[in-house]
Amino acid sequence: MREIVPQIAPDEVRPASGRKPRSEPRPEARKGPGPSKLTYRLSRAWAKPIIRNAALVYLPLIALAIAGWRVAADDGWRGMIEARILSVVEQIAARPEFAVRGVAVFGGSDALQADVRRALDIQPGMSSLKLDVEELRLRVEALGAVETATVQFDPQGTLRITVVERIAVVLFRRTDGGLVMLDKNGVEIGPAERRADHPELPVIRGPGAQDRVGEVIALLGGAPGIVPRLRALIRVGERRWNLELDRGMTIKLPETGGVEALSRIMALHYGEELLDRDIEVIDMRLPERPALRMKPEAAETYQIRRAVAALGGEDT
Amino acid sequence: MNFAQLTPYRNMRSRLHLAIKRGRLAVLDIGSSKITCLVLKLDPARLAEAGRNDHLGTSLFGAIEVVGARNVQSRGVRRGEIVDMDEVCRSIRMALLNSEKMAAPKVGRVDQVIVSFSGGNPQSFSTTAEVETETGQVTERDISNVMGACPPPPIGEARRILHAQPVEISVDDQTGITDPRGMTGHKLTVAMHVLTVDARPLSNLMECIRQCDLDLAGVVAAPYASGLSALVEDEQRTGAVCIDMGGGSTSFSVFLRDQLICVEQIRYGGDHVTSDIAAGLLMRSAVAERIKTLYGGVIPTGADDRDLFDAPRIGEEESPNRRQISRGMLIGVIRPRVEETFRLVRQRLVELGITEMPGCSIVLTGAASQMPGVDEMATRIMGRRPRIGRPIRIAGLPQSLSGPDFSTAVGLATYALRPHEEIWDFAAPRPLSARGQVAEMFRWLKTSW
Repeated sequence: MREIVPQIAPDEVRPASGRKPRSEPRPEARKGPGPSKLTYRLSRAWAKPIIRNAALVYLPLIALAIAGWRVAADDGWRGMIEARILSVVEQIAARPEFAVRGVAVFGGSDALQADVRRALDIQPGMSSLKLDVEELRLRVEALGAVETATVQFDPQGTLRITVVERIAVVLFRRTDGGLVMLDKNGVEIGPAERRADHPELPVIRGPGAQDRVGEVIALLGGAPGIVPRLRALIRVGERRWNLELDRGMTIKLPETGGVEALSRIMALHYGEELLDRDIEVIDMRLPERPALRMKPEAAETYQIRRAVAALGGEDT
Repeated sequence: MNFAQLTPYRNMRSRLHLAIKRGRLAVLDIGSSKITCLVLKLDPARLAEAGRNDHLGTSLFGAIEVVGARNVQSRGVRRGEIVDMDEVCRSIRMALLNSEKMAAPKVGRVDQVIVSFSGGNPQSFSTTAEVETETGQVTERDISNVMGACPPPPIGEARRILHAQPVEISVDDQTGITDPRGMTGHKLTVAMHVLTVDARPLSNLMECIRQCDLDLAGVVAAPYASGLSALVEDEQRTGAVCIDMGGGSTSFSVFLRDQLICVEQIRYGGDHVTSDIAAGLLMRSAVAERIKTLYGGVIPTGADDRDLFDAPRIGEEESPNRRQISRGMLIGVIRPRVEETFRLVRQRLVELGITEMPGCSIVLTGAASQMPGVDEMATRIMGRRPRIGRPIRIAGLPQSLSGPDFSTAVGLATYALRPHEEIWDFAAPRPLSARGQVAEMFRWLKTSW
C-alpha cells in the first residue's frame, strides 16, 4: 500500500537541521566512477587514426560526393540551382556600385570618337561586370580608323578609351571605281565620298597598289614639287609606277630606283622646264636610255619647224 | 626447468618487443588502494644504443618519456588480489582512458600494457644446475642446456611462475659472470631464482586486462618493480632490502649483485592501520583514513598530548560538538600495527639470513612509508637505519606522481625498458648440436651423403 504523502511545499517538511530526507538506497550495487565498457571501446576506437580519419574525412567526403552526384543527375534540381545562382549573380551585377557611369574617349578626331561610341554601344547604368574589356578593345580596334586602342575602367566607374587614329595618306581607287582612304601601312580607313574632299591626298590605283603605300610616300617625299600637278599614281603590272600628271602627261618610272629617276626628272624640270613642255610620256624605265614622247600636235609643230629650218627660212 | 610451459611468457615478451618497436607502452600498477597508469613514449633507437654502449643500463632513461599519467582510486582489489572484476575493469578503464587522453598529442592509443601483481602470496625458490660444456667453450646451447637441467622447484598445486631469473652463473669455479658466452671452461653452473604466485588471482588479473581489450606485455611482482625504481644501482649491487609498504600488504624484495634474489609478502598494510583506527576510535573509515594521513605517526613525542584535532564518532561527523582526540591517542592506535608489521618483516629477514649479510641496506618505499616516524621505528626494530626510497626520475613524470607511493609504477617503466633476463629469454635446449638452422641443414647434408 502506498504511503499518503501530504502535498506540502518541500521547504516546510525539511527538518530543522537543514538536511534533506535520506533517499532510499537503490536496489542495484553502487558502481564506482569510470567509463562504461561501451564508452571505453568507442573512445579507444576513436583513438585509432584510421577510424578517426574514416569518420571525420572519408565518410563525409563520400556522402558529399553521393549527394552532389544525386543533385547533379536530377535535371529539376540542377535547373533550380542554376536559376538560383544566376539570379544571385544578376542581383550582384545590378548593384549601383558596378554600374558604368560614363564613357570617355581620348584621342582621335571628333568624328572618330563618335564612331567609337557608336561601336561600343554602351548605355550609362549598364553593369560593368557584364562588359569584357578585352572584347570592347577588339571591337574598337575593328574600326578602320583606329590604329590601337586601350580600354579600362577607372575606379569611379568610367570607361576610359584611348584611341590612336589612323592618318590617311593616300586615296586608293578601286577597280569598281570606289575611292577609299589608306594609311601609311596601306590599311583601309574608310571610303572617301569624293575626291574633292581630300585634295591634298594623292590617288593611287592599279592592282597591288594598296600594298605599296610606303613606296608612294617615298616617291612623293623625294619630289614634293610634283605633287600639285599629280593626278594619280598607277601601279603597272604589280611591278612599277606610272605617274599621271595634268595636261595628259605620264611619267613611267622603273621597277627599282624610282625615287632617283623622279628626282632626275625634277632636276631637268628645274633646269629646262621639262614638265611644262608639250610632252606626252617621259619614259624612265631604262635609266641609261630615258625617252620622251611628244604630244602629236607638238610633234607636228616640231616637224614643221625642222622643215622650215631645212628650207633655210627664218623662224617666225 | 620445463621449457614447454613457457610459451605464454614468450608471447608476453614478444608483445613487449612489439610495443617498444611501436614506441608506446602503458604500465598499470594495480594496487589495493590505487591504480596508477603511465603511458610511456619509447625511443627504440636510443634504447638500442643505450643497450649497446652500457651493459648495465645506467644511461637508459633518455629513451623513455612519460606522456600520460593518471592515478585513480582502486575498487574491488583487496590485498593485491581482485575481488570484484567489474569494478577493477572500470577503474582500469578510467585510468587508461584518462592517461591516453593526456598522451594523445604525443602517442596514439596504446595496446600493450605491463601490469604489476602485488598479491598471490609470492614465494621464492632457488634451483641450481651444473653441466659439462660440449666444446670446452661456453656456447648458447650450453646455457640452454644448463637452464633445462635446473630441477623445477616444488612450487605446489595451483601456483604459477611469475619470474624465473638466472642470478648466478659460474664457469668452472669463477663466479659472478654476467655473460658466459664464449668463455673457456668445462663446467657451467647456474643458480636460478624462481618466484611463484597463486595461479587463481593471477589469472583473474589477466582476465581483467583481457576484458579491457589490452595486450598483456608482462606481469611483474610489485615489490620487485618498486625495488627496481627505489633502489639505486649500488644498493642493488651490494645488497639491499626494499620494503614496499602498500595499502593492502607490505612486501619486500631483496637484491644482490644486480639480481633479485627473494620476494616476500606480509599481509598487513596501510589499510589495516586505517581499519584499526576506525574500529579502535569508532570512526568511519574515510574519516580514519584522513586523520591517519594528516596527523598519523608512530613515534610519540612530548607535544602529542596537547595536539588535539577533530575525530568524530560515527554519525556525529557534522554535529557541532564533535569528539576531539590527541595525537598521542592516534599514535597509540597506529603504532602497534606498524610495529607488528616490522617485526614480521624482521622475522622473515632473519629466516632468510639477510640480517647477517654485511652492507645490506634497507629502503622503505610505498605510501605507508610516508608516515612520520616510520624510519625511526624501522631503525629500532631492524637494527639498521633505513632510507625512504623515492622512485628514480623519468622524463615527463608529473611531480604529483614522483613520491614513494609511485615507486611500483615507475619500476614497471624501468622494467619495460630493461627487463632482467628471464628463463624465457633463452632458447630452449635442442637435441641437435647445431647453432642455427642453416648450420643444421649443412650437418644433415654432410651426414646423409
